[in-house]
Amino acid sequence: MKGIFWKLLASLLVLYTVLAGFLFQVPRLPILHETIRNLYFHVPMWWTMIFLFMISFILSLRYLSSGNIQFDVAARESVNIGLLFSFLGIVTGMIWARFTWGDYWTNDVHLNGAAITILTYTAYIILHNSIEDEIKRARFSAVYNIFAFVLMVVFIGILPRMTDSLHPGKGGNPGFNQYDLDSQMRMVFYPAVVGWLMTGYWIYQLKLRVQRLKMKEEE
Amino acid sequence: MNNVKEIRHLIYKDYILDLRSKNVVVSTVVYIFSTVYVCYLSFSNLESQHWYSLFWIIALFAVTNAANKIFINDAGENRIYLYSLASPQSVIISKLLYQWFFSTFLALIVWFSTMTIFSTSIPHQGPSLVVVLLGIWAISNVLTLNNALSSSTKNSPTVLAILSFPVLLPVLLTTIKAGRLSMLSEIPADYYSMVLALGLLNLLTATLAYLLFPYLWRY
Repeated sequence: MKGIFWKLLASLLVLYTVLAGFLFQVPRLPILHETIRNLYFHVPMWWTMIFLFMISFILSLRYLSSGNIQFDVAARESVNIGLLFSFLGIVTGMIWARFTWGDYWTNDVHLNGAAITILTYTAYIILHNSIEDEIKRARFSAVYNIFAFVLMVVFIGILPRMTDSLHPGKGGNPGFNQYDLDSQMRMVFYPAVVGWLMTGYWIYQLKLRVQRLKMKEEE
Repeated sequence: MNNVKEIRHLIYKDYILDLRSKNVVVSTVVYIFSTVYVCYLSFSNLESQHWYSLFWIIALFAVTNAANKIFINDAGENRIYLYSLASPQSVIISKLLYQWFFSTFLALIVWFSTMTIFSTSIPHQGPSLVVVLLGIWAISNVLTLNNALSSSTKNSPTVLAILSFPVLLPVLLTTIKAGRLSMLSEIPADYYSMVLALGLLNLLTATLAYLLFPYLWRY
């Protein structure tokens, strides 16, 4: 099995995060209480999503410069897995928001950014599905992917500076640095991010291999 | 020099085609009037802040509706003919410019008709119109590129809307924010930085369209 080392590491890290995330000591804070543990599960989802969307952006650029259809197949699969992680991020965030803010959804820059991202990439998948011709489909969706990614990065850079936010770490709300008095949370948070990034990449690779086999079968 | 001539001819071609099918243009204008009237009947009394959001919703839908026809005359054999005549750069520049004129025309109709019928008073017409124009140009840039993408799919009007709205949401948020500042009795200093941001958004969307369009046209 190829890459057994990092796959084993990814599994161990995620296993460690789940156990440590629920069992280790966390700072006791008003309002947040135990929901602070969501940091270990919610934030890594978004990191993994951004990582996968970046992969698909680079693959789309490479498709346009080379014309190799394999890049398009890979770009699409990474968007698929990225969307999976964005749904997980939204769900964990919504459950957390219910217990701290009192509502599942609020009009907040961070939440709007997440919604826009999900809508954009769902549109990418729909565009990819609605064109019959293989080369045309690849080229059109690569163009949309690049267009959307660049604009998204710009907006996520601009928007949060325009308004205040309820979200921890933004707009006068204390971030993770202020919560964390003895750096104990870091011992779980960083392994969680690394573990989930690797797991996301692993799922993406598996999905891609299945897709390639399907394509071979069709030929 | 050659390019400028080419662009001029292409714009003239679009203009002539629109003149020949006046029906399409007139129907868009009537669509605007009836939408405005439906809104008038359902809201009757609106504060100027809410009126402003309503104005943008009507303008957005009118422009999106009109954007469906950008590439409609350049499909099939016409596209191959045009491809052999003009460079993709000239095609996209001519489309962007023509769409600027057309969306400005539509936006002004929406602006003055909603203002008249809701009898809204705006203290500074000039600064408000600057925001309207900058916003509508950024929207038309995005719609032009997305129509080039969607025109070859099966249900192109829906695909155009799903591709564009998530990307347009941040543009709209910025525009509405700038517009609300422009409607205050005294223009705050923030207004100028918002206008600058809108100008940069225009530049960015137009540049992206210019760079990415040749890949679509090649097909």
